[in-house]
Amino acid sequence: MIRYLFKRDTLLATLLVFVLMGLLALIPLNTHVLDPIKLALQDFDYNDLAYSRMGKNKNALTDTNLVIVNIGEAERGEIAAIISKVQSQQPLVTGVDVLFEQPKTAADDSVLVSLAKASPNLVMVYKLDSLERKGKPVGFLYACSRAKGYSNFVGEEGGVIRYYLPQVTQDTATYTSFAAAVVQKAAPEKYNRLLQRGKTTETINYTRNNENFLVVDGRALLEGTETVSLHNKIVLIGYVPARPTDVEDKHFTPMNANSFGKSVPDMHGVMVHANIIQMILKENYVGKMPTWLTWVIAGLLGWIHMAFFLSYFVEKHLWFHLAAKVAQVVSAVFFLYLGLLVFFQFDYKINLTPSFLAIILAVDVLYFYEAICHWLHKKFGYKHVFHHH
Amino acid sequence: MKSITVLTFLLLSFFVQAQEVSFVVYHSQGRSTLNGKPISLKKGDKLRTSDVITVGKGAKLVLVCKNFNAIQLTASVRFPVSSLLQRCEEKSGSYTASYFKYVWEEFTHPHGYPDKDPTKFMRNSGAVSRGCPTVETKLATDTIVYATGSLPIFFNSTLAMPFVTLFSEAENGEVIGQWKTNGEKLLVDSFLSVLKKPGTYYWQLTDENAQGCPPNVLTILPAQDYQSALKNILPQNLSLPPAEEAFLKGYLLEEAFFLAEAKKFYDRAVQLEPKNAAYKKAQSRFYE
Repeated sequence: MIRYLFKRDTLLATLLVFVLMGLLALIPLNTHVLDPIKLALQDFDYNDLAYSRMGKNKNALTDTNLVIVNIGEAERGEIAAIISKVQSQQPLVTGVDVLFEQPKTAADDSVLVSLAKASPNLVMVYKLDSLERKGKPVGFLYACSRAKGYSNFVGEEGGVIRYYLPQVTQDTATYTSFAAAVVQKAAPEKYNRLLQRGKTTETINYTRNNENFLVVDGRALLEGTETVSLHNKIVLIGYVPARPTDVEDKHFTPMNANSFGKSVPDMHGVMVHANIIQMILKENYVGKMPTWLTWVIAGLLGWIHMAFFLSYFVEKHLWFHLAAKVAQVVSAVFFLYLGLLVFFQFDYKINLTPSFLAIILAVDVLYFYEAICHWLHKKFGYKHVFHHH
Repeated sequence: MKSITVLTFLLLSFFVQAQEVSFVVYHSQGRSTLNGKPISLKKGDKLRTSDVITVGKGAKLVLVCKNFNAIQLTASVRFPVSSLLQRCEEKSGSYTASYFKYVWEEFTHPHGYPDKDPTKFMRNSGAVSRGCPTVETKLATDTIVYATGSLPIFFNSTLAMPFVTLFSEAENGEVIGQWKTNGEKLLVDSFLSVLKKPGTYYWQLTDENAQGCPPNVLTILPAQDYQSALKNILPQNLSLPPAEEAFLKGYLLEEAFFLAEAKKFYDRAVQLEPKNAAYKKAQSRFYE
């Protein structure tokens, strides 16, 4: 195999694999409608396996600097009272992850309005209606809130929430996400460094699931039976229902035990925000391999595999198909393991899809390349490694 | 003799038209009744425009329209048959046409990726909602006390075809009236064409199946009670400039859910002081 590494035919056949990949990418048709497997996996990222199967961040300890206050079934009046009670304990910042779309009753709404106006460290949430109203904010407290952030997550509708958008610019207005707005109050320097990264989207580094957050009951807080101190902490007020089947504001995340197929959403919206906040505060962002390096690695792996395939094709043709299939399976398992390991240990995403594609296509491209070589030999006397087998 | 024949023929035609069948029951599961009578609907029953059907709890009815479209009713509510006629007009293509339309759209629809084009993938809201996510109004319409007068409510809705639906109860109530809106505004005064007497009613903007957020409360008072309630709310002998007095009264009436009267006072405040931004802002909620 080693001597085939530097043969001209190995290099040309490898190049042909990537030419074919490029031609396939040019086809403007979306063929996944014919592939039920692809349809089922279209919201699948193999890095999710690091969370669900390998137990990434499984043993994270509860962060007591971030507290979630559960509003339960409270209506507006009670929610306003909860916010007031939280603020009285002088937290570092309070984020209210409850969306009030429209006015309801003047008495309750006026308390909410006065709280939103008075507190510089109270971050109110709103929703960006990105399609129907061209990015306009929804929420009647938007105009009067001193600090605010949009609650929208990035992902397929009802799909897995993997990505995070710190800011959105629509026309001339810039909107900040809820998590970023909270961090802006809690740790302005971390917020500035987030913006300095210059990334449109960040991959969320999930460090905690539902059980690893400190949740206090809002009603207990009002009654004075809750003893957790909120002083100088980041407090998020949101909905954390006791029933696991209550899926209001519950989302799919990579931490879901089922990485694909049908399952139940696994994480409350307020906890997704909490994970993002912790990622920004600890600055443990997920790195991503640059595209050029992805293709260089794909080229190298494709080349090595092509040399292996060519050696069997030419010298042990009888065993070629078996060897090729075994090599493909072993390579897929090994490189997937490697990619997951890098993500697990170093929070760094490697895209090995082009590499897998190159290895898979190499076998069929080799036959095509052989035919081209025979034709060139007939026409122009082109010399090649293939001989009749 | 000829004129008698023509008259008889016309009368017979009129009679036949009046008895025209609008629907035929194709499938009935559970207990659904007709015109309040304790007779269960069954397959083959004919329904006319003047009929009223009640779909029981857990029941299902499939009705076939004159144009061979089928509609299914599962909501446990009371439906005037006349209100179902417009659903028959919806066009449904053949299976083959629908299949190939789907295949074509999937073939030619460019599949995006959330990390490459995030603003196109932001429909997931990461916050629980305390309010009605499908309907947005600038006025607080949770409770309205009303008798007469103009009261328009402007709204934005994500419903494809918003209907005003009147219910008999706050929860699991029967539909006592439903009509289509123009998609932007509803007039509370128009409710009086259905609500003939004072009382407490419940209404909401819903889809055609009466599905939507929990209903709002509408209390219709007799004229005399309404006027005496107004007298109790409105302060007398205020030593304020007229515009400010009008604005204050409008505010107090709005707090007490008398929106139609509040609108009048806000209009007056703006009339007296057209450049006052606070008055204009309060008034604008009744006009946009």
